[in-house]
Amino acid sequence: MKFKTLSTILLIVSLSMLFPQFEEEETINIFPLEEKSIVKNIHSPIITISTDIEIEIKINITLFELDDETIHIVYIGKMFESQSFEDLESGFYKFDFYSSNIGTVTITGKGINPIVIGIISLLFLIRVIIFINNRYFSSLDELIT
Amino acid sequence: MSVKESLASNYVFFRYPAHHILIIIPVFISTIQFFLFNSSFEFDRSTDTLNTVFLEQNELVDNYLLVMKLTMVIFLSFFVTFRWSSIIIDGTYGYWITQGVLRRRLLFLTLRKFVIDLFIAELLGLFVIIIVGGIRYKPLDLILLIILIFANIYMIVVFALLTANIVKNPEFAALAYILFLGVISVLEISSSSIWFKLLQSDLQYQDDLAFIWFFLSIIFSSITLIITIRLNQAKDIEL
Repeated sequence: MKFKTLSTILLIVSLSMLFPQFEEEETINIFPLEEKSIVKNIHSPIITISTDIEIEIKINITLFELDDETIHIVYIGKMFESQSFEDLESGFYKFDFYSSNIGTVTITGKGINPIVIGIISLLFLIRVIIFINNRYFSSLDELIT
Repeated sequence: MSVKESLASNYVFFRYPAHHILIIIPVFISTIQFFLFNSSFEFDRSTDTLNTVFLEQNELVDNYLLVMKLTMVIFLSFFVTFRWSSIIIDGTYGYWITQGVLRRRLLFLTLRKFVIDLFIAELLGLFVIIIVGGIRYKPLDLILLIILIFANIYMIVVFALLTANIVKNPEFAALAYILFLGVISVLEISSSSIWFKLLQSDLQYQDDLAFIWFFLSIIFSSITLIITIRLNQAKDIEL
């Protein structure tokens, strides 16, 4: 396989990294005085948690580091109406909710990982360099040799 | 050097942009299903959380491997099984043999090219779901997963060649291949017989005996390959 075709294939395949953009939001029902735990695989760097409960609710967010079997605590505390968390790595997150009222909580993911943007732009740059080389400098090679 | 065989293999199997389709489309299909059908789940406080999450991650990776395998089987049924049985009928194979192409070398070269292509495809997909999907494994588990994937792809391509050499009609050959490997991939592994574990070797990466499954799978595929070569040598082909 030529390097040119390989770079094109890598560029097209890397576009599939953009699919997590279309991640749908998830709605969770909460009942009073009953802790609710949910585990979700998050791909987006930014998640927003919003609720229609009119009093403060307690939330805990933990990340499972499965490669060294530890649990990493992201956030422990209270929130009101909505709150967003940024710079998250992708992985399995556990959300614990506790409230003294009935209502719903919505988890929404948005944004694209900076690593993905980096990879795609790097591959695009390589492809452009190959294109320019072939288009404008191939005649120069013939002149020199 | 096998220049003639390489020429023949390129002419017969890679005249269409087979390389590119075989690498790109399985990755796209499996990563789309990985991202879109990824569900969350609830659990009680009493359960062992880390273990539950680990099982959930294994299930996601199993689904990824299954969809990848089904896509590869459908593609191989056309690109290898259908093409190989049709070149025997339409005289292309006979033409290349008159040009001095050795049957065994042509088969080996075709096998090698397809195995490398599909292996690249599956590694790229794995890379995407590790970087973006947040799948984490210990390095040893990851290496086991990769070598088992290689063994499984080797087996799939060898089976495609075997079906092409057994069944004469190209359409029936492709259908038989899809039915056989499709049914094997979809069947539940809980039946835990040795044959199923051998044929679904890529799903055994969490097993303690994963290395043994890898070697058994490679040996089994190699025996099948030898049978395929014998069948191929014994075939009467119109020149």
